[in-house]
Amino acid sequence: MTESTAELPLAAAYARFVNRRVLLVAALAVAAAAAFLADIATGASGLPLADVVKGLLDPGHLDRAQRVVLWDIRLPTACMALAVGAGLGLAGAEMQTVLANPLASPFTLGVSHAATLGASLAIVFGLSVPGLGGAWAIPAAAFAFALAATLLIQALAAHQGAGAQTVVLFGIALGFAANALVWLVQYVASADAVQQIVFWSMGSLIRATWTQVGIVAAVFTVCLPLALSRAWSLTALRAGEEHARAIGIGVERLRLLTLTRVSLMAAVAVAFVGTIGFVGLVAPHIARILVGEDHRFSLPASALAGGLMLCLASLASKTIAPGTILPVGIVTAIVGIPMFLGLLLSQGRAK
Amino acid sequence: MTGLMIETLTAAYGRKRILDGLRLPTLSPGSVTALLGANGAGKSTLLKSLAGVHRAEGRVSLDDTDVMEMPQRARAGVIGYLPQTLPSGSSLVAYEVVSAALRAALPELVGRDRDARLEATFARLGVGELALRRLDSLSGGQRQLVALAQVLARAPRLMLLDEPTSALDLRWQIFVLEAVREAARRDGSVAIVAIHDINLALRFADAVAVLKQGEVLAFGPARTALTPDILGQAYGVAARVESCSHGYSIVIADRALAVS
Repeated sequence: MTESTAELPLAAAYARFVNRRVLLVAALAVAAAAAFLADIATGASGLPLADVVKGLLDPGHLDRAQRVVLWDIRLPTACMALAVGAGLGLAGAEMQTVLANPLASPFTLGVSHAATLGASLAIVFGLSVPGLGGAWAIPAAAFAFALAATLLIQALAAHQGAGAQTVVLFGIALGFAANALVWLVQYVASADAVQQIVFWSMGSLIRATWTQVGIVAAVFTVCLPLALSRAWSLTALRAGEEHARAIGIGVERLRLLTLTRVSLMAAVAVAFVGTIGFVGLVAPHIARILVGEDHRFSLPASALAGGLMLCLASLASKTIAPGTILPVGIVTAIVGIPMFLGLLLSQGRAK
Repeated sequence: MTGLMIETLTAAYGRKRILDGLRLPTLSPGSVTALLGANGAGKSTLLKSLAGVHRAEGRVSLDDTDVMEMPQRARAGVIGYLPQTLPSGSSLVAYEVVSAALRAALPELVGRDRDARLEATFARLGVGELALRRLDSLSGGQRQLVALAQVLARAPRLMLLDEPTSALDLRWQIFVLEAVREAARRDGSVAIVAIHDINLALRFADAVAVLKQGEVLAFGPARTALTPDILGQAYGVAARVESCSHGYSIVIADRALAVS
């Protein structure tokens, strides 16, 4: 204990408490990095971890085929898993805070459903984006619908006076509406298109390209510092909306800005990989269990937990059924639920 | 320092007007005023309107500044509000709640000064051992103490406390009201405390304001403003106001009056 904190025992105790949290966030980062490496080192074409590491440090070490496997298949997939997981984790954490609802996630607000609707329409009607290749039509449509959905919810909520519960209800209603429209589209679509829609909506990382990874990573890199700059306001909001208002936080403005940022992040994330609902819901809870609700720590922790989960899911999608790559959306829930339940139950025992 | 003067205050829930041009005589610096009245009389709405938590219109001056004209950020610097209900499902620790409130309301208070303020507040309320406890592991009464710490730490010019003792046991009720009175005296600030326990109000308040349907039914020193007639009108009870052996007034409610 330094002399300056000697007569401030609470401040000193809190500093130690904060240090523990820094360590936990660091541990989560190490776990995410390990899962990321394991993900890269796993695949049908047998490229062990040692070669992967050497190949990353010195590309000349690998032969041509191995370089292609590493740089064009495994790395983009693994980076996408990390970026999308982190993005959804961050989006979910912010959403649960500003909507004061532990069940909120990009899924709850109908973002994923709207994205699926956009993708379905692009698939069925063979939409294309002028100036971009055909491969971009589906993500572009998914993104546009996801963003439009959240902006519509916000506009409605703002018109109604923007209570947190209202936003959640609008989101749920919109999700159902989008779902119904997806079914309608599937009902009239060809068998081929239906199969494509179903496959898209299960979520997949293997379509990832470096450009797409770059877009998701760039949005995340912009969103995280912006979120952290409001960390204290978000923390204060967790002690109650009236309380937050009374200490001078513009709650409506904070909610609007946060949801706009979250919409962008979630829309970009789901546009490229399809529906991965579970991460945005559960990563924030994992972060909260580990580091509490000081948003300086829970926001990065939630992003890391999301990245960790999706990397593990990607790993599992390649190893559960050897020879096939399962859709990651399916695996996420299968891998994530035991992980989440384990934490939840261990916390229950600790109490 | 001229205290608080509510010239006129109007607030509504939806289309229903709860307060319609309410006025109150000046509440002087260093005083504690108990806000009395039945459920739904407008006590919470009055406090929320002053705190800027509920939308309201009117003219209210605090130390000669019109608070209704102030932006919310500035208002938070001079007004401390204790809500009636506090979230129970948050895993924030008590220290963070108070610290976050200080950061938001008093951004100029930084570093060691802020730490010292936190230290002193937890010590004054005797809740140092709660500092690193999570809100969801605290009892209702403990959460109420944390919320009060958040108000007292800011040393506001106006304290608005909505039933600060509702979840506390007898000792803590008295302890908390003593702390509030001490803070008001020390800082020359104004405290308004909405409270259901009339005898606590009589014991600790310098003045009482009795509300009924958004109107001020009675205002003045506790001993003279509270009469059996006023209590009957405000609460619908047949009540006596008597003097105890120490000279304090106590209210004894005998029975509920038939609804007229």
